[in-house]
Amino acid sequence: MESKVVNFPRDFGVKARQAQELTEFSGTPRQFREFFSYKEREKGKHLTYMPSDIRRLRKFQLGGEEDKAEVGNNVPPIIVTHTSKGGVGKTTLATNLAVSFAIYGHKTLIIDTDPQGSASEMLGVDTALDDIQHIGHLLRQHREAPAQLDIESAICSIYPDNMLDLLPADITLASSISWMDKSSIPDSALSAFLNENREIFSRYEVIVVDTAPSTSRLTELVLHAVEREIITPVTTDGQSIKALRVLVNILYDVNERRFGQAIQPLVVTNAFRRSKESTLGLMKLRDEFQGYLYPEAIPSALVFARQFSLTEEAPEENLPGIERQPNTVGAKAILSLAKNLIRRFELKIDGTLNFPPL
Amino acid sequence: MSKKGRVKRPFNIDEILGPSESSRPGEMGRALEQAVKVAGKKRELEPKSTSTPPSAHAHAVEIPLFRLKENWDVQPRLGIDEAHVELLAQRFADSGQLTAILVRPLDETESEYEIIGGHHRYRAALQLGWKTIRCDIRRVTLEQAQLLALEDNDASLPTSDYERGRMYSRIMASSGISQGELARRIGVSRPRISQCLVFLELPPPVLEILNTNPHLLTYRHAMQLRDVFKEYGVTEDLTALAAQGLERVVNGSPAAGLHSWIKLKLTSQQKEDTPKAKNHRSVTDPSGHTAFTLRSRSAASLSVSWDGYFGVDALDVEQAVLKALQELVAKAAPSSNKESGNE
Repeated sequence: MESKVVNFPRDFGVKARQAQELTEFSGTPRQFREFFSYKEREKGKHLTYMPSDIRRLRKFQLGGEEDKAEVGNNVPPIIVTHTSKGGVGKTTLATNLAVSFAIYGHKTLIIDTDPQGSASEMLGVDTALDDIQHIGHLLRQHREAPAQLDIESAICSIYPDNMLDLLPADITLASSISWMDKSSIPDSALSAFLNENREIFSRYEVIVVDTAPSTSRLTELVLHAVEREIITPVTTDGQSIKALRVLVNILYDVNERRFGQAIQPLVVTNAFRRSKESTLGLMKLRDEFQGYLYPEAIPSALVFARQFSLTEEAPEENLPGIERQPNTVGAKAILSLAKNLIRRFELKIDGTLNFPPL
Repeated sequence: MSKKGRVKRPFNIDEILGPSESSRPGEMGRALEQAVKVAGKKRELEPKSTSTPPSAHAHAVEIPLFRLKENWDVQPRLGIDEAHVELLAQRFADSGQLTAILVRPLDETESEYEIIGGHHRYRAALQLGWKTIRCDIRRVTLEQAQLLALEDNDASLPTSDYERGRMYSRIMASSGISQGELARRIGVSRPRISQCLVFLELPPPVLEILNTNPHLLTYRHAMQLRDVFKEYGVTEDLTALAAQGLERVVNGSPAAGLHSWIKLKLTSQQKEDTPKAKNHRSVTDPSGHTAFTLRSRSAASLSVSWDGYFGVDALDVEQAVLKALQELVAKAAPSSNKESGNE
């Protein structure tokens, strides 16, 4: 079974200078160009370096062989963005982080678990037209008829070489969620699903999951599949901070039923402006969530506003902010967060830590 | 910080706000700390002394049959009663499944479950070709599952004293609890447990017969049988005799008569062993009735009595009498020699 290809070939890449920053390349620009001597520059255009190029260089730097025969047979770390409030940047963070992980050289899978399907749309899937097999279908098949389970054909390929793949969602996910409620699916259903289909999921080095703001059974399954930390975007307005109270309650419920380690949020301030209100909100956040607050704030930036095309008929014009303008302040804040998460979650490239934890 | 560094980290919160003053998290932060600390509380298996049974967070769920496993270590029952399965299958076909079966997840991923109670219902569902069956999931250890299985099984098809005894001893061996503690935890009296444990004092060949017929003996009969073994000692002969007696019970003779039957057999065997009994001799007619009995009460006497049957060959009687007399003489001779030697 072949994966579906969306907007392929997608030639997203960064320019030499940024590629050097991303890979922490210490040599001269000439040495850098020589490593990629096979790349030919198109006339009138900058040479760009795609995620797979960066992975190649990173693997070389880390001393790995070209193709390691033995790949880890584990489900990779799962990075979830979840808050109980809409519009604070869950999907923005999830998609942009997924793109960032890819551009840092990791094979990335992003799973959309929001019936709104905005992560899928942002990555260019037309949820209205495409025949979408979403995580709800797969979970149900896995539980009830494992013989018919076909994950490969449900996965959409966004960047070539599995650098970024997507398990999309559409509005029908809502009815799958009501099936989950009715059939009382166990807490561990998602982790069991990932575990039992290791041969597919172990080819990725990180799985990013975008959630819906509602507290559905599917969201609970996602929270039970996380190892220990979820990313909780929060904006600095009062309502959004209040919504964290709901999240704390949910975490209490989930943690109470979990085996082993508790999950805790990594509160990431999003859409921060240098205004009086925003600063006061940030102060409140810092005082409330000592130890759980990510030490940097993502600025309110235009890149994120431009992610969705304003004409409804053109989902192919949607692009995650980083992909559209990787060199802006907003994109760099996300890249910095992504690098931090690579350290925190100990993400690997072909079995070697990309950036060791500090 | 250099200019380059600021570009890389444009929104460091401590740089924006200055160093933090408060050292304790706020109300929500404290709630969050609680939420993190609570981990696994519900998952933790029930401590021994709590009054809440493991059923406290159970809920019925439809589970596909192929995710269920049977484990005979959990089960006190020794086999499947096919007739009972038939009956259940009929009932299921008519009115569906009334009660959920009891299962426990085998691992954290809950991809497979072990049946604690409801093996017959499971078989019935298989027979009907059902895809799923309604289950009551209990997150319990093997030991707790064994206790639950005992409790659950009595409801539909009662377990025998022998099956209970086996399970009790298994639970006590695996968890190291005393009879009193076990009685308290499963809610039966202490004497009841020791009654059921009586079975395990019987020798293995006897237990083998019970394994195929667990309902054969009640604890009372087992106790009587045990007393016989206590009285006469566990010998091969006695075990064989007990096995023979049990076969009789299997074939329909009342279990209450077992121990007296064995005792009777034992005493009659002993009689045959004495020399007196050896001097018993009888002549039978062709249909097997005893016609004449020859007895020698002392070394020098032989009495012949007629038992009221005709049709015996006169020659047979003559030969029997002759033989008895010869034996008598042969026996008398060495003893008289001895006596004379003493003089």
